[in-house]
Amino acid sequence: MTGLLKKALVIITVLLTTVAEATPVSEPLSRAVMLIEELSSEGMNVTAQIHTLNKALELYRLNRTTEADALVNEALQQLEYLHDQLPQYKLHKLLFLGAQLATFFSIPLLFYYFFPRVYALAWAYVRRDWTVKKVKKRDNRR
Amino acid sequence: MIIDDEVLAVLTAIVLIASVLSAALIIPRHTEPFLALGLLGGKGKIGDYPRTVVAGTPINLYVFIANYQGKAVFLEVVAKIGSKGNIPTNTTPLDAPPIWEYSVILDNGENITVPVQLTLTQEGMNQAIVFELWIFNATAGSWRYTGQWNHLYVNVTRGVTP
Repeated sequence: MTGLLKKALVIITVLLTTVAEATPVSEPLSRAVMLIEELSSEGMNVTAQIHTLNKALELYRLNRTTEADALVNEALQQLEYLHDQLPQYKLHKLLFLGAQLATFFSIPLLFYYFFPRVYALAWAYVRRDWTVKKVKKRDNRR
Repeated sequence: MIIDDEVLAVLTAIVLIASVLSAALIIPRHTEPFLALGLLGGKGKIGDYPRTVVAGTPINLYVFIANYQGKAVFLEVVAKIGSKGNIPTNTTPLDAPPIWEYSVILDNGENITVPVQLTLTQEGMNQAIVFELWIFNATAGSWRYTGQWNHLYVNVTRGVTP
């Protein structure tokens, strides 16, 4: 029991020392980061928003808080819009992937069916000027 | 050349293998996520690290950060001063006030090299300049130590008095 208590105390100490300490983050910036993480993990292009937020972070470092806040809000608005588009984007992505896979898997079947036919047509086309002559068999029994 | 059944079977097998390989390449795979933190010398390369520093004189270093988490993340590098035997571990950051901070949002696969200028004022042997990497946990709304750090031991000497 004492061992368990000690373990719990160690875990709590580690947790307390490994969180916080770094720069405080405002609520809109926190929300923007959450959306950026979610959208980028789904493969959405959020490069422009990341650029805007990094510009805002640069302004925070220069203590130009008002301008930085405006940029964060601008990025947040764009991210909220992109977040609304996310289900549609996921569906499109899934359909596109399905279409790509279907294309790849149908190629061998199409090849098996069409290749001999196309080959035969090409073979005949190349020899279209040829004439077929009936050759008399030689009689060697004389 | 005549395409008989055997030739057609071999050709179809080759096409089938090529198709399966192509399909396997387009299926998204989840790789092992990781973050990287590197400390570079004054010329922005590995090496040329200062060993002796004059107190009050700025030293130039570069910090390299890379994100391969599979998503964009908000990172912060915090510089602190430690000493021999008093450096962070994989689980615990150094218990010292930050002397320099830099926060950045990096997209997946993106990296950045940041110039750092530090001025050490306290004289002493084997002072550790520690750089810790922190990640912002947006769900919890707080920073979390990633367990990654770099340190550089320097001897800080007294400046020459004019």
